[in-house]
Amino acid sequence: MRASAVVLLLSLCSICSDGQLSSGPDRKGQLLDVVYFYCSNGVNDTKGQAGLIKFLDALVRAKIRDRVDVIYVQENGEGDAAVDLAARKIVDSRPYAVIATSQDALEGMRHATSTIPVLFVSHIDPVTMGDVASLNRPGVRRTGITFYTPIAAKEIEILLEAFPGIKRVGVLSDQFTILHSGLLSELHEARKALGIDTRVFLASTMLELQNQLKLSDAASVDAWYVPVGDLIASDFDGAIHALRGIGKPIMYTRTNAVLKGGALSYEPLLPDPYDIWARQLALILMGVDVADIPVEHPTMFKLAVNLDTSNLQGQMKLSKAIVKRADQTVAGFEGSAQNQQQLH
Amino acid sequence: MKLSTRYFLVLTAFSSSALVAVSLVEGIPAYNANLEQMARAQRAEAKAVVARVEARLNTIAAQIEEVNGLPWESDFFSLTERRDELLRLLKLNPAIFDLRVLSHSGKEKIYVSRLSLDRIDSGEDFSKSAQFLRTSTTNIAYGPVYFRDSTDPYVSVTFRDAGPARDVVVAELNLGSVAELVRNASIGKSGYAYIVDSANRLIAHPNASLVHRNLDLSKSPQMELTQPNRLQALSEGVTIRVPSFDTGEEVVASARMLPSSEWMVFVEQPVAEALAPVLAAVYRAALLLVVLLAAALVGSLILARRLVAPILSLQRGVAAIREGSLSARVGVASDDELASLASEFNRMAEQLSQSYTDLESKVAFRTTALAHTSSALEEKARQVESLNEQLRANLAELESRNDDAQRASAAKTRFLAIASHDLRQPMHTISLLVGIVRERNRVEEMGDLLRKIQVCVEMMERLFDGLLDITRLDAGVVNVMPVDCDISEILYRIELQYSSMASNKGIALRVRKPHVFVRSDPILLERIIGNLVSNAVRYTDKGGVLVGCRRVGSSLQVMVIDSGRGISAEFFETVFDEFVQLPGQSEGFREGLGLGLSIVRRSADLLGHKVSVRSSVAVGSTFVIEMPRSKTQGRRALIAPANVDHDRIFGAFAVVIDDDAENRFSMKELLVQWGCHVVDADSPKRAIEALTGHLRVPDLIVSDLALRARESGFDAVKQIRELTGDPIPAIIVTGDLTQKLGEHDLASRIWIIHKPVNPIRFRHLVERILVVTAEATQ
Repeated sequence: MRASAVVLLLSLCSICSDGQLSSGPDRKGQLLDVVYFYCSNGVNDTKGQAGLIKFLDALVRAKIRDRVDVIYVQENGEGDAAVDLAARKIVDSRPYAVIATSQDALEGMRHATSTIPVLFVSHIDPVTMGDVASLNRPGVRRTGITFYTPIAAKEIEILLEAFPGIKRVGVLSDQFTILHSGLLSELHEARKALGIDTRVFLASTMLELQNQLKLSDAASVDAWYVPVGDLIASDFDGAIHALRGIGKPIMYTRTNAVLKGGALSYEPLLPDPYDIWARQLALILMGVDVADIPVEHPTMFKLAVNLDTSNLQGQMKLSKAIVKRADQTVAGFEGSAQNQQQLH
Repeated sequence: MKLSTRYFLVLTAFSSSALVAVSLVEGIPAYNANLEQMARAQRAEAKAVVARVEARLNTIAAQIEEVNGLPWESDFFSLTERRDELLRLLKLNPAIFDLRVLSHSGKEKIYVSRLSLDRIDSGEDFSKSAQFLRTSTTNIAYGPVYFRDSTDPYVSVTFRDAGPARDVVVAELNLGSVAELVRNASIGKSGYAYIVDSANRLIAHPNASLVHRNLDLSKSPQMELTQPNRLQALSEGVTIRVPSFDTGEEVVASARMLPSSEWMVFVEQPVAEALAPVLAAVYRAALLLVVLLAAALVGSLILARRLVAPILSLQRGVAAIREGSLSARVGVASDDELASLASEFNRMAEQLSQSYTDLESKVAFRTTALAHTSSALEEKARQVESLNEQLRANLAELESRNDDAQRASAAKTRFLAIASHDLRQPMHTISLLVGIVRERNRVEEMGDLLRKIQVCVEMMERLFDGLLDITRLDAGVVNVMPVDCDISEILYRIELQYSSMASNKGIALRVRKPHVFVRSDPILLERIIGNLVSNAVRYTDKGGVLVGCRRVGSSLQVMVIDSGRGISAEFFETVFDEFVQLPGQSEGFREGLGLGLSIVRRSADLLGHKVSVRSSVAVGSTFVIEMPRSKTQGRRALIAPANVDHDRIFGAFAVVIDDDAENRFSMKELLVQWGCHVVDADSPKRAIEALTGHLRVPDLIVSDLALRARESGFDAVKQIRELTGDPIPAIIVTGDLTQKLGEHDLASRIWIIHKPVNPIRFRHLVERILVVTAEATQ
């Protein structure tokens, strides 16, 4: 087990002269402390630091960089307890606001405080999760971004149009997503409207994925639908690689999956999330109540098709109509012998 | 203030005023022009944003119309192909969120969406929907902006196909792309643009989070100021200066309306930034003005010094002459008026020097002459001193003689006082006895004798009264209490008193009584006038006596004019002396000893009134007494001539004795109000002291029964009666109800009344007492 640790990276930001991580909205003429809270997948994970740099740039664009100190907190420990402990330490330092950069960080901050403003990112419906009362009026001192969009039926519709003849779709998800999202009701809508059968397979890890793919039911499905979940979050590349090997059409919700060899993706898009956080923080600094700042969610969608992968789907032939509709078409994929070629 | 300073200030003020005036005349129009230029530039920015937004919307509309314009009504295209074309539209234009094709009857033919499942030929009825019913003058109709999921702004656009199928296409547009245009607008360093829809909601802003809050800006100053000018905003734009709706920072804002949708595009810049070019021009002008002012300051200083330098040279020359250096001269190196002045000054100094020399010789001569004059004056002074010594010796002798005379006069006064007082008592007794004898006499021959004795006794009583008055006047115990009094009241009483006397002699007494207020002691004045009238009546055998008044300046002259025997002019001065009997007046013993006019003169002297006489023998005399008129109208006395009883009260002389100050005061005020003269005291002793200073015998005594030091009101009545020798009627006031009148009958002339005293009954009693007393006296 990796040791739990809180790493403070101060090289990119300044800190109060007294060394205390204290702040508050009543301090006049002083920089306010904002914690950038990142839960990593390991000590070698540098995505958080890359995100921090983007966030600092966004603060400059929002013209509030000179009003805040950004304190980077990276939690390398495993498990909810470690995240909760890190969140409590953050709260003890009384920061002005916290940027919770993952679902885990959001969970930890929700347990630790109800008073300090938290700007989050979520892939699950934050209303269903109880993080906010509604998207337009959160009603609590939390707001931010959610990528959650009830798009499963639409994605299955595109999958069917891309590969006519599909009768049975396997849905690869995890227990947490199934319980905390509207996925099941969307699948019901798709079955009813599109006249197909769906089968849900639960897998949060690569091992569970391999076990599920060995099941006889897995062999009976004509295509797969893989929404965002624990499996994709924990080992994205491994999951794509493993699924590419089964030789059936697969619809993802991340364009990256198509770049890495997935056949199709239909991804909800948001403008730069760091800009959104910076704008929301600017509103808080202007005195707007966090509870009145809407949670932003995608209004744009991107359809991507990997021609090579799609043409390797056995009897299934990719329809030309879907290629015409695609916002992005890809030839080849990372790691393949063929060079990746972006046609659009 | 120094002349150079004054020159400097005047020159500086003149030049500075000119510079400031020129700056204002040139600067204000330039400032206004700069402001207008700035406003035009900002409105141009707003216009550019409007153009970009219109272009974006028009592009979308053109794409949709292009697709919609294909011959879909023919069998050439299937619904699936039409759907694919719509999906291609979605791909080409990210702002289109979904598209719905309706038949001319409102039935759904095709629906494609980025989020929802597509539908083909569902037949769903949309004929009652707002999108289907929406109309416009063109083929395109914009609906109101709405917020999908309550966060993102969308607008629904309806396209009507002019072809045979008359299909209707409804597109839902995400306004995020419009927001992108706003976000990309470059408005100075920190300016920005935003859009407000026709319902005054924020639909595009660089900070999308503000848009997602679905803000209603109806109450913002921007909307309140531009709403009345929407037409102008549509045609040329509006520029205003307001606080920003989100930060509150003061901004310059320009608004322009989109003609197709009536959305309002605002361009805002902080005031400091927007006005920076204008302010820079102002600062440059101000700096130039400061430099020019400084130059004017220095120039004024130099010019002032040059102007003053010759004057300072003159000043130094004058100062040198003032200090005695008459040889000082002024040098001015110029050829102007100041040089002429310096030349004149030098000539004046030359003449002054010459005059000074002449003057010194004259002074020496005058000094010698003055020494001789001084010796003569000292001799005269010694002579004057000798005369003063002699004068002082004469004065000392005169003072010694005056002291002797005063001592002799005092001795005479004391003698007369003692004599008059001691003689008064037996004379009173004699008068009473003669009266008794006359009543009891039954022998006619004795009657005439007794009447003559009675007349002699009355004469002697008057003589004693006169002696007593003279004594009081000489002793200086007569008190003078000048007040503002109405001369008509005094003359009224004089008329009452002496009319019967005149009538008895068969002559007329006429008294003119004008209401004039004079400053005098009314008792003494009445005595003076009474004596004059008494003398006039007494020495007038035919004709009459007239008493009249005349205003002379600030004075009043009371004149007593008779048609009597007259006085020779040689006696005008001595007629007022004591015991002066004029020739022809001493024929009858009854005519008196000549004390009346003496009393008149002395009393008038006490009052400061002037008494004079004019007379002609066998024609008559006029005595004039002159007194100052009062500056204020004094209290008007109550005169009720129609009532004889009232007349008795009016002018009566009363003594009030009470040891209680408040009772005494109220009783005095009551009697004064009725027109009485009142002397008040808290004891019999004080009352006697006060009466000693009066020449008039009281008409009434009012005393409290129980006084201090075990004295009673009866004691007071007794002592006053002894002093005056008259049985003056008295009223004793007591709270002791056991006191009865029986002990003091009417013969004693003492009435007892009980407290509390009723003013009306008290007045009736006083009237009755005075009437009874008067009848008894007559």
